[in-house]
Amino acid sequence: MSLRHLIVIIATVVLIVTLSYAITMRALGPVPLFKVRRVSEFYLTNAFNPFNKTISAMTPEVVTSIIWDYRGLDTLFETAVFYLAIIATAMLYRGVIVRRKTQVGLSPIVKTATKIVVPSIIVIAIAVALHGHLTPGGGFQGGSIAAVTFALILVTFSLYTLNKIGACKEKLLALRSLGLLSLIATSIIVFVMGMLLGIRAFILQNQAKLVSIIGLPYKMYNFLISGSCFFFNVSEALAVSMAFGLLFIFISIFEEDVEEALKRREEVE
Amino acid sequence: MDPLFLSRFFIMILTLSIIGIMGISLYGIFHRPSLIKKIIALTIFSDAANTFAIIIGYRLTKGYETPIPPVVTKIPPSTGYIELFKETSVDPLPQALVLTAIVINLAIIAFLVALTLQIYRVSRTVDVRTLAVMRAREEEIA
Repeated sequence: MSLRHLIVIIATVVLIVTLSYAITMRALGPVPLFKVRRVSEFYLTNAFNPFNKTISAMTPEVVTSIIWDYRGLDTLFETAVFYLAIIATAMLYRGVIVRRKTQVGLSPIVKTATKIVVPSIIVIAIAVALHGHLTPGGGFQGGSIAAVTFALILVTFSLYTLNKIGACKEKLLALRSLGLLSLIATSIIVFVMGMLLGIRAFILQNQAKLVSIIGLPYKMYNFLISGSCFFFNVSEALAVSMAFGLLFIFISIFEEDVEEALKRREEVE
Repeated sequence: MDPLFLSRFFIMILTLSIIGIMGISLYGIFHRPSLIKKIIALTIFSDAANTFAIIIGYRLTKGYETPIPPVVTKIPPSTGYIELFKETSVDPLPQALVLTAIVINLAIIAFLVALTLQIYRVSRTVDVRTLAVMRAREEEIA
């Protein structure tokens, strides 16, 4: 055992003991309490409050109301971090051409089971994404569930099959960009409406506020859509599922294709 | 036994074990030589942090009934229902923070895996010690 190893172990133990001591001495205060924090109390009271519409998000799911209304800008920048990771991966695999290969895959039993499971996964993903403002779930979760289908098809069939049914990486990139564009459009739609009507309105505004009388309707033909939350969830689900599909495709590109691209890149350099 | 003491005791034990997991995963990040092992340790660390945030958001209700998830189920709600909802629902804020963190973690982990794959393709190893030796040799040649 080297000195370096010993130092790492001692540092880890000291960290655990110190933090545990702090927690035992009530560094966090008494957890759990009988009350939630003040700011959370505000969210719980006003997330769906027909008696106080000017500060309510009119979203029954409080978590969604925080994510897309009260802290919408926060989520938009978190989405930016997410797509930065995707763009960085796409950059790693630049210049890679996927060639036609003979179809390989797992046994017919697994393939048939996958054929049955994939449509139901997509249905569940759409349900989770569309009901994001009513039940736990939303764009992020729905998109992640839908992305599982890409991984399933890649493993049980092949990358070639995925390309054959139309999910090539260029198309996924375009659909992802479409999702991101509709995300941006939803965030400025009330602002644009206000500009056209000559009324003051804000970016990322959902319901009408005290100082700005226009906003998106929270009800449409007796359906509760909670203004912008619904559109945010749908476009986020599209963008997230396509981005994850892109990632899975990148990771499972044939070895020879990537090595060919690497060689070409070295020659250019 | 006193339910208040019991609930706080169990939450304390949970928090302490999460801190233990955090320490172990930090050890993995700093001291495992394989890049893949480092990534696995990183996922464990982020999951521990997320669980920690969720535990902070737990609350007790009067009469020690189970708190409800932060979803308004009665539409349109009455004033009394909103009051009751405020008194019985768990803290939604840590959940909102964790929700986006999970998806972003997944994307970043996928990026790291892709990066490790490329490193393996170029240098045929994911051991950081061998990589350091190779880099020193390359610098010597240059």
